[in-house]
Amino acid sequence: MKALLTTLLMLNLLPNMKEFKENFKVRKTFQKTIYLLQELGIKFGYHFSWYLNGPYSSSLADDGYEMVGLRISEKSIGKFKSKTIDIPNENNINILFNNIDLKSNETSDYLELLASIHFLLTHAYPKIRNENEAKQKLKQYKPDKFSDKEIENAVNNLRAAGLIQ
Amino acid sequence: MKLIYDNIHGYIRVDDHEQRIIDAPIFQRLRKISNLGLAEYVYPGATHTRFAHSLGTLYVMDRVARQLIDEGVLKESDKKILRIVALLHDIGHYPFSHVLQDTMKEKFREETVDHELIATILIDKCDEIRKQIECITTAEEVKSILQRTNVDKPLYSYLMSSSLDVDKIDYLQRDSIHSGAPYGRIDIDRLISTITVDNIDHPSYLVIREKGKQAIENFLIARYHMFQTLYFHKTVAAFELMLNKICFELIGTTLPTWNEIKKMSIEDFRDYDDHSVWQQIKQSSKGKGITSELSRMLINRTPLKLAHEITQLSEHAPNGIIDSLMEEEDIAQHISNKTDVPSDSIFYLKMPEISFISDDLEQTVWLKSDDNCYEIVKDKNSIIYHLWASKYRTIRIYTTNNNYKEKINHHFAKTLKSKLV
Repeated sequence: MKALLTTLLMLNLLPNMKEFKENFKVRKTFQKTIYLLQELGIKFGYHFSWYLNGPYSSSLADDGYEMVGLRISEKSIGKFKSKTIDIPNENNINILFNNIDLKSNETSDYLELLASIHFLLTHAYPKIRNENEAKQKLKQYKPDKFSDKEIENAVNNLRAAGLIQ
Repeated sequence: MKLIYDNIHGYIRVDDHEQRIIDAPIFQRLRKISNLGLAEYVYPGATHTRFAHSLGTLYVMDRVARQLIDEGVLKESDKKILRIVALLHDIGHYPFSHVLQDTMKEKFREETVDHELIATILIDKCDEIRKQIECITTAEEVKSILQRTNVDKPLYSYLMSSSLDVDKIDYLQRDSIHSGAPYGRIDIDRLISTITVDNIDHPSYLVIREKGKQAIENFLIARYHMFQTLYFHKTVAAFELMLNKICFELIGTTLPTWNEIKKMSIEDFRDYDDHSVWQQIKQSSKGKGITSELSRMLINRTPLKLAHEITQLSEHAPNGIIDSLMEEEDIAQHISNKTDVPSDSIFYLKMPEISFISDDLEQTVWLKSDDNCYEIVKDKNSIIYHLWASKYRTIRIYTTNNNYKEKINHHFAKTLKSKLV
């Protein structure tokens, strides 16, 4: 759990943990950020399953609550940040998370979209053969939640970050 | 078709293809995997195995599926698939169940080492089991339900793994009856007869009709009490901590690594059970050093001593002792510096947070009235609404003898006193 915290601090990708318990969107941002980072090659060891709002890991949820329980102090932030963690594909991480404000509530829906499309294309059963099928499935599971333009944009961003071909 | 007598549910009917799965050596292995790790060292009756639990889970799944067939949600063909999934859900369990799984997670932090993943590997490797699955469906479908990656039928996975799953309905009763701790008894008939789905907001997700409110409240409270009295019992936890420390050291030498487990043949995995781990612990007990000492203690049923326990409600941090401890890089070394107790004789255990129900929408329980569905934690008329915020965190510090125990206890009493002043 400390490795997870260190990595998020190093990448400056820690959501607003002060609101973690009360705000569902913060928890969603946390889940989808870790999912995407793991898919980008950082080995956290979480298994993600398909739930109401796309990929979700219950053991990551437990770690998130524990992280809040730590009540991270300035002292510990300094200590964790000083550790060296191997971060592969940092360039692709920057591409995907560039211009994303993880402290904003709106971000959670966008990350849900990115993570859901990626999950559908890579981990889902029955196998989804192409982007069009993934888009259709997404519309079927989450009707009216995302526009065609938003989905198209998300697919392009996933491709730019090397997460889909 | 065969009938198998189970002491919890009575006669359990198994179809021919299910019987062939049960007869497979890799399934028979579950007879040698204890359901409750080392709980039998405290509760002598708790010797039941994953084998009986797997049969019980099949039985409960059958009943819930029948209820959902009556509700018009599932078909007979769905039930057949779900029965197989229930039967196989624990086939990849590690020796001593969750104890060794937690050790593996600790040892191989960067990998996903869940037993569900092992189950999918075994299904790929075991021709006999795959053949029987294919009497009903595809192996890929069963694997997707176990792994929760089936996006077309999330209800299948929800039945197998959620806040209200057939696994928990079986194990709460089974663990309760075998251990003698009475808190896990639930009203299974009422609970199952009120299960349905929400076809308004979240199609395919399980909900409980309002008339089953007391049954689901009882279920959530039973689970909470079972954690307090049995799963996290201080002496059970001490033995499991010892087992964890021993196995952590033995993995990579006499116990297999994650990579080795993934590559094991079916025959080798069949022999990877509680007995084989005990054998390695016995070997380890003959050496020197702390792992050997812990092995001897475990074999002789000599638990670590609980030197100090810190419990605080998650929402309140009256003294911040847990927070400041958790900030330390090496907690055992930190306590050792303060107490002069050797660091290798100090064992800390951070218990998972105990709560009635998760805050997460993904893990919540829904109630259904005539016109809508709502989360049980938001129902002011439910006892869960008033209790759900009651979550607490516990850290336990164990040590090897009474002299060390006194020193550690004295240190924490002094620290607490200074914080209160």
